[in-house]
Amino acid sequence: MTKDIASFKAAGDKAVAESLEKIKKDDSGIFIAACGDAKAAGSGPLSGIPIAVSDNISTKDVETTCGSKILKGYVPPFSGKAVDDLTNAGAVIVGKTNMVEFGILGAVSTKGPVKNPLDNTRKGGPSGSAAAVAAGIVPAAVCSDVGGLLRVSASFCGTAAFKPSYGAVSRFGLIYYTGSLDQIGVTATTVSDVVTVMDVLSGNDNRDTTSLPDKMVYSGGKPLSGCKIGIPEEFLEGVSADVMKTFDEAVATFEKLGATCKKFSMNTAKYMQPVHDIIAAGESSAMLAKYDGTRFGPRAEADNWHEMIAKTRALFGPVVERRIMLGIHLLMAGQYNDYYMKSMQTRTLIIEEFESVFKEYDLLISPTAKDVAPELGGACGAGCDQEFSSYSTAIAGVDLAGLPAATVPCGFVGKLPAGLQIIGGYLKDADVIAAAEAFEKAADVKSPEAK
Amino acid sequence: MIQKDETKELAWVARIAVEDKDIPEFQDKINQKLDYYTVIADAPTDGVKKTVNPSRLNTVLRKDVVVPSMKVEDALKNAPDVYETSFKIPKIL
Amino acid sequence: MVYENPDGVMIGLEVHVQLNKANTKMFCSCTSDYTDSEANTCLCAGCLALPGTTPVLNEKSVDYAIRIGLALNAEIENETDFFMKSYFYPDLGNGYQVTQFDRPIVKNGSVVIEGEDGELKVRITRAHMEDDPGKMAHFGTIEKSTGSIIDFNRSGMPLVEIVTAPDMRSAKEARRFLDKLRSILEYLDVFDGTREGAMKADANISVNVFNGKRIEGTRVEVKNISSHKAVEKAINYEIMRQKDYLRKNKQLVQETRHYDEDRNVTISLRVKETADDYRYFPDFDLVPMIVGDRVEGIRAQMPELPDAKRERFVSQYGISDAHAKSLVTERAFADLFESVAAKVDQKSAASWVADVVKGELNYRDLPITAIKGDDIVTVIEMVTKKEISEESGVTVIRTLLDDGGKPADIVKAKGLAMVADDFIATAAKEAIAESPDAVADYKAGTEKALNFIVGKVMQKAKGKADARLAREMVLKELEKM
Ligand SMILES: [Mg+2]
Ligand SMILES: [Zn+2]
Repeated sequence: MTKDIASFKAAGDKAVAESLEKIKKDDSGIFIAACGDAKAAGSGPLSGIPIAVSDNISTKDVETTCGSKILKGYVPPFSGKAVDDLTNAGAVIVGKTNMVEFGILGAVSTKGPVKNPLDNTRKGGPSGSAAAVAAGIVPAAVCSDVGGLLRVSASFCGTAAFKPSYGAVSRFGLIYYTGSLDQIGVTATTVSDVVTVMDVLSGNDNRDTTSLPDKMVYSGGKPLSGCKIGIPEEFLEGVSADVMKTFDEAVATFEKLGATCKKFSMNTAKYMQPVHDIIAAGESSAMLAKYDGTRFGPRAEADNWHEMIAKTRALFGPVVERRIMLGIHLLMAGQYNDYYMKSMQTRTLIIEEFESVFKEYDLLISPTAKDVAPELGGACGAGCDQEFSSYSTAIAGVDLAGLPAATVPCGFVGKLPAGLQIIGGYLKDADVIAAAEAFEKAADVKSPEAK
Repeated sequence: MIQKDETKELAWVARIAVEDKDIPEFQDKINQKLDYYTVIADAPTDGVKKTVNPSRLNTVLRKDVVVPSMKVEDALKNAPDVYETSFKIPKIL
Repeated sequence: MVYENPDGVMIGLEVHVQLNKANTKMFCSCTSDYTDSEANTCLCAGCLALPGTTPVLNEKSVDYAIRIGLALNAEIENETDFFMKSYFYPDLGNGYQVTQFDRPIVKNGSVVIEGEDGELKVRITRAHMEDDPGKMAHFGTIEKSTGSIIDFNRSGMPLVEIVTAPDMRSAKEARRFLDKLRSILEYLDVFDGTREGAMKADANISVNVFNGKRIEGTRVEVKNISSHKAVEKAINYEIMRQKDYLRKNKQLVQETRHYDEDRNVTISLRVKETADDYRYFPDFDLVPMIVGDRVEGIRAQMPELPDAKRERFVSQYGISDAHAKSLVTERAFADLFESVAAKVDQKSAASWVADVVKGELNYRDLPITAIKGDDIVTVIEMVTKKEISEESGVTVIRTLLDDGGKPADIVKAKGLAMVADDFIATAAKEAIAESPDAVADYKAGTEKALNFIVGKVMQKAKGKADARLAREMVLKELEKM
């Protein structure tokens, strides 16, 4: 079902129009809205290519909601850097993909869950970005990747995805809820298509302090032959037997390609998820404070401002509300040192351990998610505060250290794909890309139907 | 662990109108998280510097050069209520 | 003389200073000059805290903060950072203010002021950088409003908050501190105090002596004092209120009060039962600042500050300390003086600029740019050469300020030129002839009689004679007799 950039290019003038048509008909919760028009195509490496962006990336004059009621009707007066980069490269932004409210895993989107194009009884992940690619609607989607918003979706839908080192892509216009953990990435049919889009997005932006001064180069990474790959045992904990089987096959593929794979233990692994969760809660309590019905967005009626904003802010879903309240609690003087301060220090330990691990290994690998796509309306159907912990410790670690990570399909469990995560050292993006491309080619994973 | 009245207080500090009937569930779920977080207590953090952001950059500064402002129509376009060119709100006290 | 401080008054100030000489705001590239603009026209999405905006720090605001720190004889922190201070208020779009916490860029400084009993060193605990919120206006008073409106033009203005130890003992000392601080800031060229909202002070006031006994006073914070005159009034009101409560045995509470300038009262805004929890935590949107390497370059460019200038004026120009003190309060004034002193007698320059020009400008509420240094030089030269009298010199200055023009033209138009020497000689002879009684008295030893005769000469010259010359001429004629 998926179609790569080349086949969209081959469709010529019709590519954007057909894509838009499909988005307008979307009843799988993949998109929140369609936008753009075929005439908008410019020239450049993505000329005439329809691309989707997650609904937390601001699009000028196009409603941007982050899947939340609190942003209903909000029309940004400016576009995010990623959007400008894409349109400057000739692409047409055709749709805003669905996402769990503000990207908080376990929260519920106004559009409901994303249905998996490979099995519509299953979820397509916390964002619709991978599903949009898997359904062949767009060849690539750009999505922020916090807590696996992008990577987990890709793993569930069998697409390739990449989240670069922190700072590679400007976050200007990205409506993040936890700024130190979020970074924009790309999902597409193939790693090579991912790189084509990443290349357009990377580069310095003087509007984002954390933007790296130099444009990231994705070519020329280390070949797999002779490569030392580490497998943190803790990244395998809780992984289902079926997914573990696909992972073992992936390990075998890497060894066939001349890499050596070795399991080892990471001391700080057990802290990764709780520290990620604490930092995300604290940061969200500040980042989500601006939604008060004063300058934009819906407003509830009340005769004084404080009541008015409290009623307005009740438009957040309960998972988001609890996240904010929890964050406030953790940041209060009585708890600050034991939770937030401790987490920022533990984050240092995590980064330091990754640094020493990458002195020994060129790359780390893990399953991207602990299991294949869950059923719709499962335990987290109505929102679920614990959903994040059901994914992967590795995802949390990557976010905390700002590392580059790719996910590529590594096998199927019935109709459903499983993803392999390849993690590189900070700024070693090219090595991750090289490994992902080599693996993709060698493993040649195909769905049972395609076989 | 937080108590019921603390949960209510937190909702007010967060300026989120939570209905009384929902308070026990909120309390319960927040406490589950707090319980989960106890894992980090044994992290050996004595004397360890904090990491605020994974960026390795520091002292990123901007030149003091003016960029034209946005149009006032754009500034007010999303406002729920305006008075002349200002944002209007109900009384604050 | 030692100041007794009978009520044990302790005053600490938190002064918010807008770095409005920077062209742009603190975290975005919007103009900092919004004074005459319509509401919400000098802003960007960041100033409005629209979703998806990211802050980037203005290098000027950092350098200005360092400049201030050096001027306050303070330490500059090498590595510093920003925190988020969370609270909900309509003018605070983000729901948090970006400020500094445990590592303020400036700490441990001091400013010497003229205290109640001589020099008083006011300790500066810290000075930190932060951004300004927008501005709210109410329909009706704040207490009884039906609604409010918000203008975000001010949102994001770079501020430095200067915090003093509670070292001031009277409203007068607090005011002098603010005057001195303002003078220093203007010297540093980081701050234009004439712009609205450029400087605001919160005062922490406690009365710690009652009935001659030391007591544990209650610290009350008076917020939102925007003019220096108001500071003195607000503090005096608050000291009076606290003393009154103590006398009446009423409970004072630690609280924040708002100063209402129109009514000259402080109003309780909210009782602080527990300290506000602002949930300070590091701003993850910004990276740390390492500023130590900027300090020496900034130090090398530091202008001469008022105290140093005052000392130099006394030693270099031999002028009085009182004149020097008056001349240095404003940098532009000191510069004006020096430009005049380079061309005429320096003591005359000091007295003309400090006593005459400054007074006449203040009286008319005119800026220093209303007068040219060269015109002052011309006037002083005319007086020195006795082309006009001192009184006429003052008249010329006043006319320059009121109507403009050139000193020479004014002298001509107003007929201020001194009368010629032979006119005075003739007038002296006439005056002696017309005053036989006075001449007799003088000859009999009554010195005062001479004044009568000289006065007569001046009358004849219609004031346009040099009084000393007139006296000499009269004496000469009298000797001949
Ligand atoms: Mg402050
Ligand atoms: Zn701005």
